[in-house]
Amino acid sequence: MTTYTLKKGTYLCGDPAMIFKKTEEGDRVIRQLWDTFYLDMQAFQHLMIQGVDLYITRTAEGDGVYQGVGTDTGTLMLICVDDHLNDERLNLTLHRPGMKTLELEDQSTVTVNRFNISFSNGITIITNSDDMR
Amino acid sequence: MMLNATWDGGATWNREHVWPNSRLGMDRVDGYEKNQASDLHNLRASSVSINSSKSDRVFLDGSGVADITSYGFYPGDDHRGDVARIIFYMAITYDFLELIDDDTLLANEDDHYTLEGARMGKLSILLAWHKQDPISEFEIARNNRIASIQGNRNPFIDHPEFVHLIWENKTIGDLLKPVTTSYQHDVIMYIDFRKEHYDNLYA
Repeated sequence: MTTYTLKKGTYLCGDPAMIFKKTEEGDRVIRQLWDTFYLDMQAFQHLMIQGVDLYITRTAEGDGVYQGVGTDTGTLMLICVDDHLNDERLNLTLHRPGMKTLELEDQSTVTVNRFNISFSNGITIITNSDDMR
Repeated sequence: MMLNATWDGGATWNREHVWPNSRLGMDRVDGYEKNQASDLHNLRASSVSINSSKSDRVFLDGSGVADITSYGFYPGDDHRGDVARIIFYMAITYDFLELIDDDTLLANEDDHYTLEGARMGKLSILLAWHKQDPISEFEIARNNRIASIQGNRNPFIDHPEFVHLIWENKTIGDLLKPVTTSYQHDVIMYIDFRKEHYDNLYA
């Protein structure tokens, strides 16, 4: 189980494939993201990739749609939108289908346990079907 | 690469949706439901890093091994025909899935996980791959195995000529015209073989 502290702000949670634009610049970041993430893919990681500050975990069961949050990469990431405004490499459109937009009013925490994501405000994204029963 | 033969919870390999999950027109999936997201014909075992690289990308041309190419993904010389026939299967099995050529629509990701965004491509490239990478013994064995479990077949593995009848507006007569390529020759030999088979069967 790994926990990180999050500052107040607007966050997007979803598939990195939907957050990084499929441009030359976006592809450069995502290639490095995969190279870094897969060095320790079982861990919930806080990474800084070419100036993009993000949190990333794999899901328990790969591709899928987990409580409305979808992934084609078998991973889900969390990014503070306020820190990356005007970053042309990113698509930070809020309230898109398949993604979750979170407004954190205060400092909060995010925890990943058995590849399930839970926020201290009570929002959870369960990717391990054994934990749904 | 050595991988576990049984499902290990995604630790070493993924169940990859060839027609991407985000482009299947579903915003929620119940893990126990049978639907377009659980169709075995659309699922392939994949290394986790390849699954991540392919992600929600459409299929675009390339050469050599699997890699990102422009806004799309090239599955590799040895897999491109398999991929094409899986995508064709999905397009005819689920009539709300759209197979198109329009780059602008294919690159739009804002309607993923909606019915409007249930589109995939690129059709013209997939048609070319179907010809360039003919059906393999592996695909036939996989089709047989899935049929024994799921109860239906990928018709484009059993009848490769159907692709030309459906997406290239060809007729059986067109396919029986004198040939110039080895691929067309293979297709015609296949049709002749089946005709002979049925003639004998019902003689």
